[in-house]
Formats: sequence, C-alpha cells, structure tokens
Amino acid sequence: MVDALRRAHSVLNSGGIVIDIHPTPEPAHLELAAGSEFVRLADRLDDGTVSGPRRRHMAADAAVLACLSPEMFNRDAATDFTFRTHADTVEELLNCLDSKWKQLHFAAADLSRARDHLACGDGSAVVVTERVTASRLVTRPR
Amino acid sequence: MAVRVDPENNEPAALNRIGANFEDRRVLEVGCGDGRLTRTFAERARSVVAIDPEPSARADFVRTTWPRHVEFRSVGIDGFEPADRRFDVVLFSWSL
Repeated sequence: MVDALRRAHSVLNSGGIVIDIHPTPEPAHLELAAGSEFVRLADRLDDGTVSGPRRRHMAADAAVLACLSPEMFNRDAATDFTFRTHADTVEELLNCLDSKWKQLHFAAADLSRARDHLACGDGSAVVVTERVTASRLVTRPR
Repeated sequence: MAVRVDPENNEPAALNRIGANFEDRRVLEVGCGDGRLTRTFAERARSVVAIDPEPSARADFVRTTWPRHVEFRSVGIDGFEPADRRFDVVLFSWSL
C-alpha cells in the first residue's frame, strides 16, 4: 500500500493531489431500513487474517500515515462518512456482495432474521452500512 | 427493484468536504471497478485514465458509454506505465 502511494506520488505533477477513499476498520454491518430509520442487525464476519477486511483497512490507514512526510504528502483534509447499500431482498444483497465485496460475509442466522423482517412486507430494505474515510493528500513542491 | 448504492449521496458530499476538485484536471483513478465513482466526475475532468487489474472490471466498465477523454486500462498501479504523462489527481477508489 505504501508502494502504491509512492507510485502515485511519482506520476503526479508538482502540487498534485491524492484523493484516497477506503473503509475504516469499524466492521461493516447489516441493518434494516424503514423510511429514515435504521436498525442494526449484525456485524460482518471477519476471520481476522491479514487479508481480512479489518486488518486490510488498518493497513490502509497505516500506509497513509507512513506517507505523510516532507518528501511525500501533506494531508490537508480528511472526513469520515457512512456508506450504505440498500436492497429489497436478502438475495439481491447477496448477489451484490458476491460480485463486489468478496470478503464481506454475514452469518446465515442473521440473514435469516433479515428475511423474516422483510417478509412482513412493511416496505423495509436490507442495508449494508460501512464507515469510510476520505483524505486529500497534497504533494510537497518539488 | 435494483440494489441502491449510497442513495443518500454521502460519498460525493464527503468528497466535496475535503475539496476534491476534478474540474479540468488530469485524473488517474486507481481501482475504478465498474466506473461507479468515475461517473460522478468524468464529465468535469480534462482527462481520465481509469485502471483496474480485476478481470471483471473491463467488462463492467465498458457497459457505460464514456466521453472520449476517458480511457480504461487493465492494470494495477504497480504495473501502470504512464509514459511521459503526469496527473493532477490520483484517486484511490476504495483500492488501497
């Protein structure tokens, strides 16, 4: 990850910027949405390995910090935000996760609970919610 | 109904908060995927090189009709050869 940022630095104009968007280590979770209300059902499964989501997102944070130096970048702005993916059925959500987020998994029992809630037909949606950080890194003048 | 990604538009709002300006910029987007984020700034940019080494990315990306100043390459940042090009913005789209 540090190498990727170094590579980015090498292809930027002097004064160019890196915009980095990556999830925070906070676990993605499953919610039910009804109108503007969100009820948390469960956290994602994470095996805790180096390639698992939490460790990977922590490594991304560390890589950004490692590149804040007089020779590389100055971070002049950063913000966190909530990123939600809504689906009307658990199956739609699972198809999306399968194609986009291969490392994001939820327990079968939690998905079953979500199905039961959605079966009530009260207009709810099932939602995956992530906390994400966005940073603006400015190159030092060369 | 289809899956709805960030219907609250929190991601573009966050980019605005940190001053991510793509207007007339030469942009290298790393990990463009299907171009979900590319679509939000491509029209404003001077040029966009969108890269992603995932085998499925090219097929997903070219489903959108892009302006002529947007190009896709099947490569990661480590293998990317810019020749003599330099960029004003490098965007890591959930790819670090």
